[in-house]
Amino acid sequence: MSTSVEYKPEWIREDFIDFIAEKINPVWALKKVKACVVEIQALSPDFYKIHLRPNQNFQAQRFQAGQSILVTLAMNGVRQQRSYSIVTLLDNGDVILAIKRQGKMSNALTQLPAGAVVELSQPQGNFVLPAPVPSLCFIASGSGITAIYSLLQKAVVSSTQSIDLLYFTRDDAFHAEIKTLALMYPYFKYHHFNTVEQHQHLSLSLLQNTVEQLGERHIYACGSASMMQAAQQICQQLDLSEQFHSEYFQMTADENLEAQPVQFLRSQQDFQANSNLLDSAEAAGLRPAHGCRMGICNTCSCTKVSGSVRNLLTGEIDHNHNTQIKLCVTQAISPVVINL
Amino acid sequence: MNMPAALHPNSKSKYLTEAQIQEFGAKVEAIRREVMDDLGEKDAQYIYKIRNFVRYSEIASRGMLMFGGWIPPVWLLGTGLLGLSKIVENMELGHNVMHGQFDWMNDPTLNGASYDWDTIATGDDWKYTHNYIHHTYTNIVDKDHDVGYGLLRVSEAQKWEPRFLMNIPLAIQLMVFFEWYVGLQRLHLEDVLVYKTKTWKQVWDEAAGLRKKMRRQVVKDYVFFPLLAGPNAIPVFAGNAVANVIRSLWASAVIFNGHFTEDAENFEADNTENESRAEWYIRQIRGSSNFSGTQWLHILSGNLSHQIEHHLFPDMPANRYAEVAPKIKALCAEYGIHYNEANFIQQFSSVWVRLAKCSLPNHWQDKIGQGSNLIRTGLAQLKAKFQ
Repeated sequence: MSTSVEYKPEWIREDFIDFIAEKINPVWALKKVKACVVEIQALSPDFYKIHLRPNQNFQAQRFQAGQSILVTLAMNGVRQQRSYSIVTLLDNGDVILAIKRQGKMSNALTQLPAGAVVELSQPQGNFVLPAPVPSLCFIASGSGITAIYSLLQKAVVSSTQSIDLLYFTRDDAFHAEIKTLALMYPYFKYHHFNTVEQHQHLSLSLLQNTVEQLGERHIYACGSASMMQAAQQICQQLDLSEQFHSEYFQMTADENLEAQPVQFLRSQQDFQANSNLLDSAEAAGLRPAHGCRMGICNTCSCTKVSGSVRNLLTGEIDHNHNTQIKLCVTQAISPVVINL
Repeated sequence: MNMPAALHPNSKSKYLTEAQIQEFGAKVEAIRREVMDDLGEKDAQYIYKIRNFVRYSEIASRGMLMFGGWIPPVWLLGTGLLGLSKIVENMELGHNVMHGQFDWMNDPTLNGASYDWDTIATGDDWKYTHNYIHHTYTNIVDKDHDVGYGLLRVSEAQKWEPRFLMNIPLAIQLMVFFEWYVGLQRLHLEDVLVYKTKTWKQVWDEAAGLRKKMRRQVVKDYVFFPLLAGPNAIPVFAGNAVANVIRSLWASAVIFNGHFTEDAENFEADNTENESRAEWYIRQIRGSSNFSGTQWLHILSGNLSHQIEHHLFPDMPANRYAEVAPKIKALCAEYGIHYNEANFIQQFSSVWVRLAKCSLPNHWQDKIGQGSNLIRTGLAQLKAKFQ
């Protein structure tokens, strides 16, 4: 009998307490962080600012600029979870998110009525500034500006070291706010590229021409997959990988790899996987439990019994037996057996 | 090499060729896929509705016992409702959730891995004995412990021992204390008591989790709620005890009906070692039996009334079994596989006939069979003479 994890029966089920609590007030809960929507404002036709008021379980004091939260919303019977950067945390603990309509979840979230209740996680993530704050180079594209804007607000008031921001955008979200910051703080230089007006992408020469003393900076990048890839390559070329920090919103599996047979042991199901294991399993009609779909929340973590896999976030290859993997950020590179 | 489970001489199923078996398996697979692709809002609403029924009925029944338990009709109503609440919590909610049927909802409160039900057995022990052992080795004598629970003889393939003469009285007390037996099942107490292959020390060590769960259940129903009721302590205590027995009786009856009925087949281990998915499906059908009834009967039985469908698709939300059942039944008819179905009373009576038969060694049964045949033919001859 496996007594590795100490078994402890619950005296009162937490969901029962929450069930009673939410009859009194919809955001009350014993441990869960629930929040009600205060207001939703359009920043552009497809970019929305969402103002949330979390309950007493939210640990606002733990928040560090650049961190994100997982938002949970039930859609068609399935609780979906996505990670969003906190743009600002107000003094009263209210959370401001900025969400771009680009999928089912962000569509549903941005259409919530005021007073609707969603579930949140605590603030989390390592995309934060080191202390003391060094000189910085921020690179953002599209909705990646949310995390970068959060870091920027913190950085300008924390030190007087030079800060540069390269922002590639189609809709100019937060453009006015950032311009104001640039006027207020002389050591902050703002480089704005509206990609509708000028077809500009991130490149080595662009970065070297815009940012002085690039070698001394800590570089923070957040944005589209192609921009992230470019940023990572540039930092490798310049030998700056140690100072490079990135926050991914999208991941791409290597589509050139051959499809691999995957076996789910306990449910006795087999399928062919050619993208990440979660997508592949779903394409085969299986419904493994999952959450954020980007390697954060651990809901889809399970034991890989055998086979070789690649971590889509880190690129690490894992050949070992009986290791923990997250389905959503794992691609099979050999036949794989999973204990699910 | 694939070895389909050998047909029992009395099996009502036809022999199928390898190709037919694979074809049958693919059709079962297609039925599963159609439902699993369609899961969504209405299935989520269903299980939330069931859980809310459990919550409201528990609040109402405990309230009745606590405040009006001294009034006999209120006590009866409260106790009955609490029994009902416990039945639905165990069967339609707990059993099904712990099979992982609702894992796709991503709701941690309805996740099979962490759900722990309101009964003596710990969720972990039960997932081992039931989800793994019973559902994988269904009805394989000496592998599936649910074949008699080490207490009863329910198959002629089980070796007869003198203790099985007590089959019927043992089965009756098993029903009354069913939740305790389910809790103890993983410990295999018969290995200590009868076969002496295990020591009490081993049992004690293995029961660490179970002891905690037992304490929780006993303290909750027999100490906490009676004390909370103050002057109504005795009616509350009695009501809780009776409700637990009601639940045990019902749960055991449903489970007996699933695998111990007259035509539910047992299998031998060597037949099943290398079986394919399709053969596994066929074994599940031949080893299980359904009972028919109203929607309420299905809910109260946790949809184990659709035992065949449950064994084919243990991870499909149980509220979908009713729509799948006619398709499986038609498929079975097409391939000549016996689909064991009758009403509750018929199935339940055939369980007792089987238990009675199995309490005797096989050769005695034959003799009794011959004897009864003799009597029957004798009677027929007598009748013929007098007509």
